[in-house]
Amino acid sequence: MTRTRFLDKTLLAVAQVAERSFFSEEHARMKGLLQSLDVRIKLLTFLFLLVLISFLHLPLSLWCLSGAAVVLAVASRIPPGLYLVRVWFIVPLVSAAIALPALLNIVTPGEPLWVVVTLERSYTWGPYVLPQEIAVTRQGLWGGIVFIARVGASLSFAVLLTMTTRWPDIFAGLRALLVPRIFVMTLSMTNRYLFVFLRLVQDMYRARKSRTIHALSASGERGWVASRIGVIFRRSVEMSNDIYLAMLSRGYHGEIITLDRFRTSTIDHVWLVAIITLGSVLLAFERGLFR
Amino acid sequence: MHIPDGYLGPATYGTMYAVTLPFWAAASWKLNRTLKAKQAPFLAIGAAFSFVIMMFNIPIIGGTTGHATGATLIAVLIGPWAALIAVSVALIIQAILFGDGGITAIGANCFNMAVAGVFAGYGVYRVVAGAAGVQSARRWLGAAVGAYVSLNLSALLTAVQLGIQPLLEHTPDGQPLYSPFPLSIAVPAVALEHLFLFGFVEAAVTALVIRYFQKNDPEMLG
Repeated sequence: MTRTRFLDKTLLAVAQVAERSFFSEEHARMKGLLQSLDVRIKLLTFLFLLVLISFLHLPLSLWCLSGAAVVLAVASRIPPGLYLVRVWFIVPLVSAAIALPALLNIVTPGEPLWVVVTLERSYTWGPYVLPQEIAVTRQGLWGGIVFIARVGASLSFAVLLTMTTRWPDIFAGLRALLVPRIFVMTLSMTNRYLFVFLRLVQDMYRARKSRTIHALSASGERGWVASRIGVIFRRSVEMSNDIYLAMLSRGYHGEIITLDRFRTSTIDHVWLVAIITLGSVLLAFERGLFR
Repeated sequence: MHIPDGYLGPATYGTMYAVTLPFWAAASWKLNRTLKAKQAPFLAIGAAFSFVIMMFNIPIIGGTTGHATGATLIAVLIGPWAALIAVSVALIIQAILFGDGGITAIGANCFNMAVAGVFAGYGVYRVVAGAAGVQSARRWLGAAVGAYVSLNLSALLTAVQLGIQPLLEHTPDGQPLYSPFPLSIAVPAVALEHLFLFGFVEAAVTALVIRYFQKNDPEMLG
């Protein structure tokens, strides 16, 4: 029943969020290298790495960082197969598909490397030019390689961070890094109540699916989805009031007090120095200081 | 529409953080004055609602589905400043915990959807709805037009940020360093599907939810 596919897609999306959360928690509890770092140091260094990746321009530097991320995943007891699928299976692959036309001189003009097709003549429509010889250019090819390497390297560290850090620790770490308390508290509460809502969505969709013997028209189905959004908003307002009253009854008056106990150890200091050194070496290498 | 890491250069994502930061500060200041102690649970539930809206698959035609961002809907229901924070928090959670959208691109994604999207949608809604009563057709019509404008503005801003990368960030011989498509390709590629398809989906869902409230729960629109 293609007209009820939206039910399956929504249920799948909800299940994927729950699955992602469950596996992240499982890996974050293992005793590995990255799990043993102080969360503040980890957040700072991973942010540094993401910014560093955005400043690097050579594919070699970017691939080295992606390779280092795999080594770190293994040292953190994350199964390398699972990690590589999480990193490379969707975003970089989609990015590669998106970047393919940019290899050609239609998008990136430059020195032709390989002529794909030769037309009778060139064509021009406003700002668009279809050259007589459509070719892969050196600039397009290198641009594509750098683009994919950068997207992959960035995602390598973003995934590593979420797979080795418990989500409540990320929020506590943000607080320690001077992100305003109210913001961190909102993030933390959102994360908690998100799963309550997801359960609600799942129940509504399962109930609907189990009662469906014939799909409604597309407009009828849209009306049903809209009514579910309405119901969830109504529940949201009620829940917001209930939570506020529960907070008041426990002594909350708008002042947020958190129990953040962080302590750095030798491994954190070594890690910090290693990452700063790595960043400096890569930047120096890219600017030709070793030549 | 969530820009991942690696698509924007440091000049663009840095600027977008700098541009978005004052809006976050202004929203926090305003909400602190109006909501006071109720602020955290209200915004958290709003953000969770925003996150969940983005997960609803909506039937379009022939078994295909799309999903709404809900920026205008949330702005109409909880006000633009609260919606700014709620949508931002949902986007930040998506980026940090689920890898949907880049961490370096949080400033850009939040500006496109939570600042420009929310205020454009809410502004159009206010203009069309005016002082019309809760049951007036102008309410759902204004929300629909607002949602359409909001989504298309967000898409256009995303396309422009991607499209300026080859101009801003390239090697001396013309090799692009980030998103490789120029404005002449990025803008039509991103904008057209939103102008002709997803904009209407967003408008339809927003209007249907407002109509649902008009029929069943009018005090929610009060």
